[in-house]
Amino acid sequence: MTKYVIRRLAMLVPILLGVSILIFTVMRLIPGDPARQALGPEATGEQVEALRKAWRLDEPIWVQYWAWLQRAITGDLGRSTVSRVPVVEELATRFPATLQLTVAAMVIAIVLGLAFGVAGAVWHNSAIDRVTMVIALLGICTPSFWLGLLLLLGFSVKLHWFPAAGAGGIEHLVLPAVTLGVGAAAIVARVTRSSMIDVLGDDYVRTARAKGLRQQTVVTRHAMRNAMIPVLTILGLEFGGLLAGSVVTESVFAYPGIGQLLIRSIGNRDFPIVQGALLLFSVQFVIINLVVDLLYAKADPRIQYS
Amino acid sequence: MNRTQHFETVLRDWEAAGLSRRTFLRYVAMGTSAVALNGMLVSHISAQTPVAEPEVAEFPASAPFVDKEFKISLQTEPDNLDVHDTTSNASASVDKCIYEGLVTLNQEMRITTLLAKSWEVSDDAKEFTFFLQEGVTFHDGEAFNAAAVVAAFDRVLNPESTLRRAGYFGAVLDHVEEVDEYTVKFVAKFPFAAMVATLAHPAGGIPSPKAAEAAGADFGIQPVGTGPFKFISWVRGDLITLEKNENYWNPDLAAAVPKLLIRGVSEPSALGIAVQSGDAAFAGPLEAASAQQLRQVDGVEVTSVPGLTVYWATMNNTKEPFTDVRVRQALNYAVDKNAVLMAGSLGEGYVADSPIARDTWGYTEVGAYEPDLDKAKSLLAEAGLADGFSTQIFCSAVHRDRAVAVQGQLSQIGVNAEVMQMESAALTEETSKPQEESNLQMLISQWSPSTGDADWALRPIYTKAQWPPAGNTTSFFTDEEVESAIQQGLEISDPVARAEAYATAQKRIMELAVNLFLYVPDYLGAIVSNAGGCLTQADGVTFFRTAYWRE
Repeated sequence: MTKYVIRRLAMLVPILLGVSILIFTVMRLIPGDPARQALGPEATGEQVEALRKAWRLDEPIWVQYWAWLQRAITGDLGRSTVSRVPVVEELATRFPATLQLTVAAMVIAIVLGLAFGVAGAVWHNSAIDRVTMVIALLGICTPSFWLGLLLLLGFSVKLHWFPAAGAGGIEHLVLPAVTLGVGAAAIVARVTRSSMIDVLGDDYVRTARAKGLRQQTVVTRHAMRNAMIPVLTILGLEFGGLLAGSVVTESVFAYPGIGQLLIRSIGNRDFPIVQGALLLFSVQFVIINLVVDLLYAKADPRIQYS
Repeated sequence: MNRTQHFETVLRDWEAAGLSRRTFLRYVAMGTSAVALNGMLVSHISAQTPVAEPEVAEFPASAPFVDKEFKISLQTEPDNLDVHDTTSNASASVDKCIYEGLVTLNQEMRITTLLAKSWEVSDDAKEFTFFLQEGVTFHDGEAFNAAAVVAAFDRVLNPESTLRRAGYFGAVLDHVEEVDEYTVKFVAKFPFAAMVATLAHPAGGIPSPKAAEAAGADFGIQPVGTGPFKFISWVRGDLITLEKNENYWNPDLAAAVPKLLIRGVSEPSALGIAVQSGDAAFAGPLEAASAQQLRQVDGVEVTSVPGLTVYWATMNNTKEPFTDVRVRQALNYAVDKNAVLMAGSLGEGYVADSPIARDTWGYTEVGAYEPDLDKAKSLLAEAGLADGFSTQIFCSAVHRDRAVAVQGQLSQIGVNAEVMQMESAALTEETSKPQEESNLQMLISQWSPSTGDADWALRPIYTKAQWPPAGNTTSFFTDEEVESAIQQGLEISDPVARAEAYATAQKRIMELAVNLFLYVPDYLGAIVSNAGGCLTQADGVTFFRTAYWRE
């Protein structure tokens, strides 16, 4: 098991190399010039050329990549071409905020999603099933900027319960976490429901019932655990996605997350930040996938890694 | 005469000069003094009758201090706070609290002295001597004097410098020299009458040379100047905190609040909501829709200032059929600019009646092309295009509404324009191509002369030296008369003659219908009723160093 984990983590090295080459190439192939973007519309052609030279953008791409890689290995990802702040610092200040928001949203997604999904499956084809699935459908269909603005109008402008912008205490987390969590909860609910319906029809569930076990025990002890595999997959994907930042929600609540930073940096062709952020996302995804795989084994003892 | 009578007298003169009562009342509501209003009136009249030595306008004085922090939401977060290393309006807005220039633009975009007491210009418009305020210190305790000014400009003019304002100053400024402890001389590379306006730009702020050297690349997150507020902290992506500078040199202009808390809110609707929810005392610049909604809200006032930005559709003067002046004029006659103004900015602005905006120094009213479809069709027929033609309008996402509105208007005369929306950086790459490689036919463009002067409004857009990739003349237009008028404006220091030269250029550009001129948008902001002293100015920079609470 430990060997397996180490092997999976070792895979990070080729993955990061591959990702960094891909990002490096793609960023330089798309039209748009970092020097021109940094200098703004008032700059002359000469100034742009001078800055391109200073940033070594006029050198062949492999020379640039090699120079970048040598520094990256030592942990120096360069400085933002816009703010001039070191990339590591820009990411490090935003990562905790993004992580907090993601965890809060996932808690909402898991609690609501499992409750609605299980209820829908247990009372399959009843009124409860229909109501919960209509709510889940609404949750999936609601655009996050719209839900976010509604929450702002209701809870910040009218009731003054929560602040409208920024990060800090838990009060800053509630509205953005609900905005993000509702969408994820809806997906979790639908997957949980269909997976549970499958499992509840299985023979071993009938056996459990025949033994005279209470409904609650049948559902939580026997059915849930087996129904969890697809749900875990979805949770892993949602978690990884949210950790990569959610531009819309962050901009509605002026939340200092990584999504806004990344989008703004792509617009500015701020290559060092884009490279740094995407490398961070790659690491996150590798780790999350590993954790999900390990949880599979917990949920289903037949799955073993060696 | 008591205070009220004084205001009434100024209002009478104000209305007599053709200025609106509403504007006047808005300034009064913002706490502007009668003297300052009178100053604005004088500068308005001088701008109308083109005699305007950029005379020294009044800087808004402080309101009484109230010990309650003041929150401000801007459209974006500043990118960095090194005054010589940013081209962002959000950064300039914050920089104006931290740094001060020798001269500056006040809330009404008129030049006023700040760290200089006065200045003198040599007859050949090449040397500009500034006499400095004494007894000023930077936030780090260093003395402000001629040596500091020289060091600050040496830093940005250094040939090795990659500071983003290196080119802005380097293009015109040869060097700065110390005359004595409190006198500095700026020497231009060539006769450059717009030098004072260039220094009044937010980028003209003076950073502490010692702090800048010590911080190196980190100066953008550890800014030090002489302003009424000093920098405390910046939680990246979230909040900038500035604190009242207790050692500020001029009690009349000192901070009226203990702290400024500044954040960027990039979702337009959420920016408006910030003022309603109490998360900001001021928010701006706002989109027209948010501003119109906030006008209905109790306890919130909307500030509105006619901009210096002009929107137009560039026509590539070197590509068929735009090589023919009749075609360019036809397109100008075909478009109802008011309809484009409604579509693009919900009517918050005015139709451009010159290639430059009214509040730019040196503006002359030339008159817009009045919509006239018959005339447009007959001009096209004369040019041999009675059946119209097909073309493409390039635009970025922000200009899409304007592009679609122009497209619709042009279809009425048989011109079939396809809207080509591109991602902004990719579009910039396209518009930076030299003439022989350019694919541009039409392009929705905008320009704002951040110096507030006609030179910077015309030279980058209408001269051959500024054809891409060197500059922004994306129309690839050139005309002897226009070139020589713009050059004259640069070389003569006499303001009357300068203004005449610019008037000639504006008339000629309009006559040749170089571009399809659209409109000038208003800059909008929102402030809670119990606060004042904040305004998004005509150049899009938000001015809030005078922020105050009404008791």
